[in-house]
Order: sequence, then C-alpha cells, then structure tokens
Amino acid sequence: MLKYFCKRVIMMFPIILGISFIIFSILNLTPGDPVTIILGDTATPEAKEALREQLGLNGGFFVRYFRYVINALHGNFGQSYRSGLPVIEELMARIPVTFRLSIVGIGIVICIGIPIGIISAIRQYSLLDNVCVAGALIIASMPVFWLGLMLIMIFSLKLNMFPATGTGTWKNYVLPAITNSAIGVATLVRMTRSSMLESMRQDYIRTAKAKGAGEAGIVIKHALKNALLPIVTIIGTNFAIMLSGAMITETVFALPGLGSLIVTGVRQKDTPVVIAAVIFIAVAISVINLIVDIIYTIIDPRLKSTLR
Amino acid sequence: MSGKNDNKQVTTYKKKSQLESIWFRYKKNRLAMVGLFMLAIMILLAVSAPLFADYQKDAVSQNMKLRYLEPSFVNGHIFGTDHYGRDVFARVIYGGRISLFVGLTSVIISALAGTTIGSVAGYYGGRVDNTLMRLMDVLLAIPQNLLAISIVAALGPGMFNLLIAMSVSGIPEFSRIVRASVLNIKNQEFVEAAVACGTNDARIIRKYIVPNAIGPLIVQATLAVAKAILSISALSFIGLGVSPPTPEWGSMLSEAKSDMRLYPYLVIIPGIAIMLSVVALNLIGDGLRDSIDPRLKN
Repeated sequence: MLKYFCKRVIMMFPIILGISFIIFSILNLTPGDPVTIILGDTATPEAKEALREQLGLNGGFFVRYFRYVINALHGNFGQSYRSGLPVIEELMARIPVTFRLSIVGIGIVICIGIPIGIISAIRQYSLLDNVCVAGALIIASMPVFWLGLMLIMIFSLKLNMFPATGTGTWKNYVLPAITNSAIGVATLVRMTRSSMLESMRQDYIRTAKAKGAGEAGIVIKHALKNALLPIVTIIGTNFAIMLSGAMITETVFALPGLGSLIVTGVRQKDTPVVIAAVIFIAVAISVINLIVDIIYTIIDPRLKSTLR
Repeated sequence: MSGKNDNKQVTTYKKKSQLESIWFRYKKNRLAMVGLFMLAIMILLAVSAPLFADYQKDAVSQNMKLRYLEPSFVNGHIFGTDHYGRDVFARVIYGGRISLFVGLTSVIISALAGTTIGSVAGYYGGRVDNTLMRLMDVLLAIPQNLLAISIVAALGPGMFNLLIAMSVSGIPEFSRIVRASVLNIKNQEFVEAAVACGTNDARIIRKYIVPNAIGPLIVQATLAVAKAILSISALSFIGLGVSPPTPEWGSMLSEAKSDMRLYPYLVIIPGIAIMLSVVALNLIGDGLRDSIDPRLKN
C-alpha cells in the first residue's frame, strides 16, 4: 500500500515536468517581444539585451526551458511583465481566495449533492425524483457565468441579500460558492442517483431486507457504501473542474484569486504569470487525482490487489 | 426453391440494418426526440438567419437612437435592442451560427485527430501505444479549459484561434475514448477469427473495428459539442474568444453585465439561448447512448 503510494508520487514528477513543458511551449508561441513591450520602442539594443538577460529570455528554447525549471525548483518563477513583482508573490497572494472558494464549493457539492441523489434514487420515478433529474439536467446545461450573473441580479440587485463583488466577509463568498458548485451538485446528483440505483438492485440488498433490516440502515450501510466508488470519482473530477472553472467565477464576481490572475495575465500578455498559475492549477489537480486514487483503495479494499 | 407450385402468401421479415434499429429505438425515447426537435429548430434558425435579419444592418451596426428598446412584438424587435441599438434577436441567431459552427467544427477536428491517435495506439499496442499514451496522459492532466486558454493566450483572441484552441484541447479526451474502444474490440473473437483468416490490417480496421467503435464515438462527440458551446461562450465572455463586434452569446452576456440592473432581458435572453442548445445536445447524446447500446440503460 505504501509502496503503491510512493510509486504514484514518484510517477507524478515526470507528469508535472511534462505539464510544465507543454504549457511553457504553448505560451512561448506568443508573438511579440516582451522586452520591447516593457521598455518601449525607444530603448537601446544594449538596454534590451540587459533586460532580456535579467528576465532570462536569452538563449534558445531548451536553454530557456531548463533555466525555468531550475529556477522553479528554487521557488523563482520569474517576474511579472506588468507589475515587476516576483510571480511567486502574486501567486501566494491569490491562492487563499481560490482555495477558500474551492473548499466551500466542494463542501456544498458533497453535502447537497449526495443526499439529494440518495433521496432521488430511493423514491425513483416519484415527482421529487423527476424534478431532481430535470433540475440537474437544466443546471448542468447552464453556463457558469450566466448562473453567476443571474444570482447577482436576483440576490444582490433585487433582494440586496449578498454583495456582488469583492472579498471581505463570509457573505462575499456565498454567491460565488453557489455558482461554482451548482454544476457540480447537478452532476453529483445524477451520478449518485444512478450509482445508488445500481447498488440497490444487488442481491445483498434483497438479503438485508429479507432479514428485516430497516430502510435507513440498508441505504446507508449497504447501498451507499457500495455506490461510493463512482461518486468519489465524480467528486474528484468536480474539484478539478471547479479549480479550472474558477477563472470564470472569479471574473464574474471580481474575486482576486488564481483564476482571475490567469485571465488578466492572458489579456495583458503577462506570460510568466500565466505559465506559473496554469502549472500550479494543473499540478493541484494531479495531486487531487492521486488522493482520489488513494481513497479508492480505502473504500474498496478489493482494489488493493489490483495495484501494481 | 420448392418444386411445388404454391400461391400461398409468405410473410418475410426484412432484416433491419443497424442504423434502422438505432433510429427505431431512438424514436421511442420521447426526451431524445424533444432534443432532436430543439436542435433542428436551432440549426434551421442559424442557417436561415439572413431571412430574418440582415447581418450588417441589424446585428453589427450601431444605432444610438434605438438603444435599450424592451422586447416587444410591436416595435419590430422581439428580443429588444442592446447598448448600441443592435437588434438582440438578430444577434442571437447570428451568434448561434458562430457557436454551432465553431463547436461542430472543433469537435469534428478533435474527433478525427483523436480517433487516428487512439486507434493507432490501441491497435498496434506496444511501444507506439506507450509513447502516445504517456503524451496523452500529460495532456489530460491539464484541464481542457486551461489548455484552451493557454493556446488562446499564445495566439491571441479571434474566431480562427479559438477554433484551433478548442480543436487541440479536445484531442486527448477523444484519443483516450477511442483507444479504450479499440482495445475492447480487438480482444473479441470475431477479430481473432479475421486475423486467423489472414485478413490484412487495413481491412480489419475498416470492416470490424471502426463500425464497432463508432457508436461510443458519436455519443461522445454529441456531448462534446455541448461542452464546446459552453467553453466557447465562456472564453468569449472573458474576452478571449470571438472579438467584437461579431455577435456571440458569451460576449453578449459580457456586454450586458453593466446593464444588468436596468435591462435584465439583455442578460436573460443570450443565457437561455446557450442553455437551450446545451440541453438539446445533452438530450440527444443521452438518447443516442441508450439507443446504440440499450444494455447500458439503467
């Protein structure tokens, strides 16, 4: 078990390296010379060359890439072209906001999605079930930013219950968290429902009922535990979607998180910031997938034997 | 056939082709037919857009005298006008053209490229499979939206670059699905029999593997178009997709942000357009999944 865990962690390093290489390559295709953008057209060639060396932009592609990796391992992700601040500082300032948003989001997804999915499965074909399934389909088909705007329209502008933008109190996080998690809730409701239905058709459920076990006991102890595997998969995928979807939510609600950092970085062609932020999110997602895999083996010990 | 001279009516059953069986099962699914109907209307509106409104006059050119007209059947603007006096209905149907075109084209490109990679990897296995799949694993580790935004970051906004970004970011997912399909089919007995008969590779792929793999592929492609429409509007919303003044549902919402308080219809209408297209495609995708392999139905 520990051996598998170590093996997976070690395997993550080539993947992280691969991710950094791909992102670095893609963003190096950006046309335009950042040095000219920063210094302006009137700068002398010597000044440009000096800045190029300072920013690490001299040398061929692979030289620059290796330099980037070595620096990154020391925590140096370069300087922002716009603000001049070290990229790592900008990242660190933004990570807490995105982190808070994601944790609250995934909490909402789990606490609301799973119970509704279970109830929907137990009362299959009832009015409640049909409403839940239809609602889940509609919400999952909504664009995230539209949901955010509609929530702002209703709860901020008309009802004045929650603020629309900025950070400060917990109230600032309510609407963004709902926006972020709505689609996750919808997906989880559908998955929990189908997984529970599958689980409840099994013979061991029939045995438990025949032995006189109460409904609550059957649902929680037998059906849910066996339905958990696909549910955990979806939760993991949702966390990943939420992290990458933070770009949109944070832009709508003007939250200073990693997502909005990427968006402004792309708009302003601030390449070092974009590279570092995208790599950070991709790596965070890889870590989450690893944790999900570990949780699999805890939930279903039979999987331990399939571990290579 | 028989020596006897019989004039009896013999009932023969014409064997249904696979496509006919799939369509037969699909027709029985009411929700799926609703989805198909919705999509048909959308495509009809998008294709016949010039019949309803002129692109230059209604969708693009500004007319400050007609700003912010409320939607009504009387004043000739059933969805009203926007900040620049442009007819919202015209913008919605021309925007639909963009969403459907970019969405469909990018999925077709991703599916073709992904299928090639996935089927080569799945069929030949060994080192080819390993190398290709390692590469795909790294690409899959990057969420599709982030990959698309990185490509747009590099190339700049605009419809063509958006198309490239959407196509490339969709390839890893398709190659993974097709590879899984091909591996599954490859191990079945009829393929083994064909190999034993000495059939060459190309014929096996053409006659046995592709027809069996195409079912899940079509389902995935339909659902991928739905996801693509959401991504396109999201990217346009944050200003990294189609550039103004080209009408696009996402950028219409972005412009409507500042007018939300006074003119909510500017926010509600494009959003509903996006939602209806995605619902339609999701219903069709689910319906196809149930009719192509009814065993998968719950």
